[in-house]
Parts: sequence; C-alpha cells; structure tokens
Amino acid sequence: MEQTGKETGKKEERDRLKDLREMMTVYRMPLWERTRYVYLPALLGKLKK
Amino acid sequence: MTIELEQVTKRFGGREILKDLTLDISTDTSYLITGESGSGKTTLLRILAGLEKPDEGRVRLLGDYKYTWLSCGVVFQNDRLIEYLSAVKNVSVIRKLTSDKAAREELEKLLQKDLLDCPVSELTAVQRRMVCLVRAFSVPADILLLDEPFTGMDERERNEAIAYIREHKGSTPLVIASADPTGLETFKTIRLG
Repeated sequence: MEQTGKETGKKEERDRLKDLREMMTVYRMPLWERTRYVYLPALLGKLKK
Repeated sequence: MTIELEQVTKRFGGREILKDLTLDISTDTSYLITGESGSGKTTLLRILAGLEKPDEGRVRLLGDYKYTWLSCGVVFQNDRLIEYLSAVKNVSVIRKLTSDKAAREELEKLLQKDLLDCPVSELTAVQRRMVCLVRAFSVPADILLLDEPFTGMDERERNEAIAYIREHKGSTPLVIASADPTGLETFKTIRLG
C-alpha cells in the first residue's frame, strides 16, 4: 500500500513537471531559468503542491 | 495576420476529437469556443499554441509575418504555476523584461496586495486563475489563448476578469474556450461537437 502511494506521488510529480515543461515551452523560457526555477527545484522535491 | 486552420482533424486513441475543422483566426477579433466537455476545445487551443499537431489538415500563418512560430499568451486548463514561487515571481519569471515591480502592478489589479508575495500553493483556486490571467497578458503575444479562464469564479470575479481581458487585449486575436458564454456575447462564437 505504502509503495503504491509512493508510486502515485512519483507519477504526480512527473505529470506536474511535464505540464510545467509545456508552459515553459509556450512562454519560451530560457534554459537557465528553466533549470533554476523548475528542474533543480524538482530534483529537490520543491515542486509539490 | 490570420491563422488559418484548414480541414483539421485530431484523434486520440482512435476517437476523433476534431473533425475537418476549418477556421480563420484574425487580428482584432475575439473568439469564444464553446461545446460540451470532450468536444475538442482544449485540443483546438493546444493546436493553436503549437503543442499538438493535427493528424490531418494544416495550420497556416497568413499575412505579413516575421517568424515561423507564434508568441502566445496562454491560460492553461490546469494552472501550471510554479507552486513554491510567489504570484509576482510566477509572472515575472516567464519574461526577463517583466520586472517584479511591473508584475506586482498588474497583479494588484486582480488580487489583494497581501497575497502577492506568498507561494501560489497557498492561494485559492480563483486567486490562482487570476495569476494565470495576468501571466498570459504579461508577454508580448501574437495570440491569446485562454482555456476555461473563469473556472470557479463567481459573477463579480468573472466580471473583473472579463474587464481585465478587455482592457489588456488590444488588437491581439483572443480565443477563449468556455462552456459558459456569459459576458462574452460580443465574441465570435464557434461551437464544437
């Protein structure tokens, strides 16, 4: 059960990152800003709602 | 400038979401895309934003046009805000030229001052939609694409959001997908499904 919860959490995180990637593509955010504000925080688990 | 959709068809999992859709989106015109849930409103906006390609048909840019891509101001169906950042930072981060000060001035038109510096994860659904709206209008856009921008809003909030849109759109073509046409009666309506 705990494992399932963890997997769901990971999927949610992946989906959130995918959504943000589309947002950044539409708004043409530079790579360094994507890294600074989204990719690095995602690695640190800061993107969670 | 005109964006021409010619006999556009889009399928997902064998199901035709859009079928042979022909449509011209022109400067100075506002469009309301209506239809039931699943009728292809979001798909159409995603095609216009360049996030989906049609399975059949084509999308062309006509007129005097400098680039091969469109700069879009978008309100996504789900907010797509960076949760740990403030409302101000969510707006200023997408465009280097938008300073925090300019973002704050715009946000103050739709949100209380004391909400602007807390993480957007602490805002209500309606407040988050307002941040998305300001973000969409903060970029110099060739087209504005708003997917259900009034979700969860009461009449007063909706009127405020519509007034903000009308004040800021200028001559930029605007496409709003919304099941509810209230307040948007002057828009050219395209019904899907």
